[in-house]
Order: sequence, then structure tokens, then C-alpha cells
Amino acid sequence: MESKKTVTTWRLALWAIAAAAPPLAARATDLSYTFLDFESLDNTVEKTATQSPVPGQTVQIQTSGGRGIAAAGSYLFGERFYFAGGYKSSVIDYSGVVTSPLATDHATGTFDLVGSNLALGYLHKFGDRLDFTADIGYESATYDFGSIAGENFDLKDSGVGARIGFRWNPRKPFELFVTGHYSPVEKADLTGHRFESGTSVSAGVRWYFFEALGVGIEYESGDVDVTTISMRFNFGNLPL
Amino acid sequence: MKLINERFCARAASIGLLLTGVFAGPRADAAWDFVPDLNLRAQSEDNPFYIPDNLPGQQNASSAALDMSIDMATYNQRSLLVFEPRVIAYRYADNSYDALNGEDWRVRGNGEYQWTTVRAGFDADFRRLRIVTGEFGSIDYNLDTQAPDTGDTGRTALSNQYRKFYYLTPYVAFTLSPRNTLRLDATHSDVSYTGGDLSFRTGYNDTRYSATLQRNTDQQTQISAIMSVDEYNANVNTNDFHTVTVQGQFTRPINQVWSFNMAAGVLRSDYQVANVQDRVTAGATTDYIASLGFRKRSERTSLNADLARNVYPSSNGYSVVRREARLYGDRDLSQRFGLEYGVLFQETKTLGNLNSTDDRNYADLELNFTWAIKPVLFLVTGVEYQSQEFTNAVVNQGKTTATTFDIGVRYRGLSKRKPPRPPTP
Repeated sequence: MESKKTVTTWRLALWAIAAAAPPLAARATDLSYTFLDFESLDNTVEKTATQSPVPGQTVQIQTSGGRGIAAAGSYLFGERFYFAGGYKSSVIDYSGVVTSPLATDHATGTFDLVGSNLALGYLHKFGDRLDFTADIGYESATYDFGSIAGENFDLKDSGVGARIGFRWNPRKPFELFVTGHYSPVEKADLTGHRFESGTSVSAGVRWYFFEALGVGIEYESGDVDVTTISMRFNFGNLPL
Repeated sequence: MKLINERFCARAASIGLLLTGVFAGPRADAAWDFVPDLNLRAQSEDNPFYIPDNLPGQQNASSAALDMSIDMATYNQRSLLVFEPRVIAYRYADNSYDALNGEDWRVRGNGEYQWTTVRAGFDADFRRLRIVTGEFGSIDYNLDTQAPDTGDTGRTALSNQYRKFYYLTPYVAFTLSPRNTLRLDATHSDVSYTGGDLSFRTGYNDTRYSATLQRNTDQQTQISAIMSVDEYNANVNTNDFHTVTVQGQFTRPINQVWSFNMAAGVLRSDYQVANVQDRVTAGATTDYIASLGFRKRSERTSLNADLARNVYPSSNGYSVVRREARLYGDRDLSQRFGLEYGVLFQETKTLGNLNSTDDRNYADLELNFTWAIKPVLFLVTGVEYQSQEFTNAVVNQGKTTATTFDIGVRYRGLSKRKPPRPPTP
């Protein structure tokens, strides 16, 4: 299952690079690091977990997927540093089975998946078409379930995470990007009632139909697979 | 006694407006621009009480309406102040429609003063409308300064009552640099009913604070980041919504006559609502807003076309998500002959789908023709078609349609501030 996800991500990245390869010689423009993003999320969360809230009774849940929203922003200061932050909130479907000596009952519901981050970043330009970015910051994640039969699968934790990535601007209205992400709250172990650290990879493409306004699509492969459609509002270099 | 006083005040003010309009118009001096507007028309309606189509009782009604307003403006290089008081008096021919007789009052105003690096101003809209006009979204032909959403419900029970809507937005804008402006707004709106609240139609108050960073990224393009905090309280059920919204806006001309605007944002709302058993539930929901619009401004034509999904306070006791399509415009077909048209489609649902019984679809289509007898005197005629449906209502489920024809005479004074369009070649 894991290898299948990796292949999908790499295929997506290769497809994106191949699609942009012909106009490599085209004139490039600077990518902005002062922007606001508004995002629509489509999450796939495939997990199973079991708890026994009372002796002789077990509750097993299986999560599936759901949609959400996110807002993210970045502010460039100096020539090479930026602040970044974001907030995302999704509602994820799950189904549950309550088993006791007397009966077996099925139930469905939703839970809230919420994440946020604040980071300090550094960028390095390789020529005028390719940027390398790295940031380190604070991240938090919350899984907020209701309760079917007294169980508690809620999770909440935070820690220090990091990202590295490349942003490529092969021709003026297009941007391709790939990011590797280490997070202390990447993997949710619902049965063990804890987060584990882990990594995820994301890749995407963004089209600026005006210089200050772009639409993008991104795929992230990790413990939670997320397809994101985003609208970016570029502010150029503030405060000038 | 109170009713007599209200009627006396209404009549006195009506006569005052009329006299002011007739005498002030020709004597407008450089300091103030007075533009009186008098419109006397006869109306025919096929469903004046907005009774659902599947119920008996729809009847044709004839009425006369006297629509009087004055656009009062004073302006110079640094300031602008505009007030437009307006009253429309309705009188129905048949006694069985006495509940619909009455006056719609409205005062709109806006103003701004500009210092070297600071601008301060306000936008205001005060209304006291009959239920049958106050509970429906209307087409606003003032295309450059569209009126605020009034949180209308389409619920017309007890139609002899009045709906009062107060809206005030003071703002201040600081020029941070030649390309950047920071604007702070505080918006307060308040709705109440003369007959008190009902379970499906309630007064509310809503206060919104917002901060906007506007940036002119080049000579043509403006982009904004807006963060707002909104507090909504309904009167009848003490429902409250605390909503934080972050959004971006983008505006840019496409060519000399067309421009394009777009907005997108996300919001989180923490709420506390009471259900039909008066059990209070607290929770939170997330949602998004988005809009896409085009504007056309030429010598003979103006047009606004918008698609939007937005969140508004509502008199149904909840914050609501409203999806809208609007096409408003006017066109001079010849030197004397002009038309106005408006198309409005709305789909309204409570935020977070907390109560589906007030889900509502509404459509309003208008077409008005104008024939200029003189530069200030017009023959006017028009038709309006309205349709609404409460898809999940417990009572009054089904579609309601209403059609209104009107014909009349309009006098509109000449304005120095907004001179008439040049003659069509």
C-alpha cells in the first residue's frame, strides 16, 4: 500500500516536470513569497482502531475520507526569509462497530481533523527560474471524534516540524513545486492514542492567470492523502 | 394614537419631500446638488400577499404608488457627502387589501473625508418597510454602490407589520505607502419588527469588525486581504454565531469598458443554537465564500454580473449561506428610449445546515422601460416576476409566484454630480 502511494506521487511529479519541459528556455518571472492561499481539501484517511471502553465491549472504527478548507499565508522579509502559517479543518467520515456479549451494532459519523502551523523559512534562488525553500516551525494536529459507546479516540498534539522544497517557474504564468515535510504529528495511532512523527511528500502545479492571482492543484501523500485546489492572492513585496 | 402620529409624520414628511424636491431642484447651488425624483405609477399584482400556489386565495389587486426621493450631495476635492431619503406610499383600490396600504421609508447615505494619508467615511442604510417589500431581496439599480444584504426571509405572514433595518459602517483607511492601504471597518446591522418576533421571522443584531490590507500591485490591479470577526445574535431563540473569516479580493480591468473581480475565503463559525425543543447545542462549523464578477461601464450601457457564495446574518434566526447569481444593467437604446433589467437568483441555507426548514430558493426578474418626454420627465413601465420556494418547510411548502405590472410617470431632476449620458449618435 505504501509503495503504491509513493509511485503515485512520483508519477505526478514526473508528469508535471515533463509537461513543463518544452518551454525551459522561456523567460521566467520571480515567484512571490508574500501571498494568501485559500484551499479546498479532499482527504483520504484510511485507518482502523479498536478500544474497549468497558470490559466485554469493543468499539472498532474505520475512517474513510472527507472534505475540508484551509487558509495559508506567507510574508517575505529581507531578501531570503519568510514567515509562513496556515490553518486547515476537515470533516472526515467514519463507520463503527460496537460489539458486546448481547449485540453487535453499526454506526456512522464524522470527526474533525484540524491542523495548524507557524514557520520561519529561508529561500535560495538557483538562477531566475528555480527556488529552494526550507522552513522550520511549530505544528499542531487534532482528531476530534464524538463517542459511539463510551470510547475516546480523540488526539491532540504539537511539536517542531520542517519542510524543504523546490519551486520552479519554467514559464511566466506557471509554477511547479515539490515539498518534503517532516512532522512530529504526521501519523495518528488511534488505537495507541498517540501521534508518531513521519514524513510526507507533496507536488503540484499553479497557473497565474493574472500575475497576482493564481489557481493551483496539489497532491500530498502521507498518513493522510490530500488533494488540494487552491486560489492564491499574491501581494508582491510588502510594504513597498 | 401612535398610529395616528405615525401616519401624520408620514404624510407631513411626504409633503415635505415633495415640496423640497420641486423647489430645491432648480435652485441647487454649487455647495449642494439636489436631485428630486418623483414617480407616480399604477400597479397590478396577481398575488399581493404571496400566497403559495398550491393554496387558494390568490387574487389580482390594483394599487397606486407614489415614490419620492431626493438625492442630496455635497462634494469637493477632499470630501463627499450623499444622502438619499426616499418614501413610497402604497394605496390599494380594494378594502380587502388594507393591510398592504402603507409607506416604505428608506434613507441611504455615505460620506468620506480625505486627509493627506488618512481617509474616514461611512456607509448607512436605514429602512422601515412593509413586510411584503422588506422580506424580499430587491434589485438595486444603483450599480456602483450596491445595497447591503438585508437578511430577508420571504416570510410574509402578518403583512400589516413593518420590518426595520438599520445598517451603519464607519471606516478609516490609512495610506501606508503609495501602493498599500490599511482599512478598518466596523459594521453594525440591526433588524426588528413592529409586531414582535415570530419563530420563523426574528429580529437580530450583527456586528462585524474587519481589517483590510489593499495593495495596488500595478497601475491596474488591486488585491486585498481581509480578516473579519462577526458576532450575530437572534432575538427570538438567542441563537448566536461567532464567525472569523479570512478572504482575498482581486480587481482588474479587462479592457476599457469591462473589469473583472474575484474573491475567495474561508471561515470558521462557533455557534450556540436552540432546536425546536429549546435544547441548546453548541458547536462549530467551517465553510467557504467565493465570488466572481464582471462590470461593464460605457457611455450607453452599464452592467453588473456576479456569481457569489457568501455568508450573511438572517432574520430566520441563523447565519445563512447564500448562493447568488445577479445580472443587473441598464442601456440607452436611443436618445429617448432606455431600459433597465435585473435578474436575481438566490439559494439560502443555514450555515452548517443547522435548520433545513428555512431553506429557500428565490428568483426575482425585472424589466423596466423608460421613454423620455423631456430631459427630466419620463413615461415608465415595467414588469416584475418573483418566485420562491421553501423546499423543506413544515407549512407553506411549495412554490409561490407573483407578477407585478406597473405604468406611470417619473420626474427626475438633473444632477451636476452625475450628469445625464450624452445623446446617442
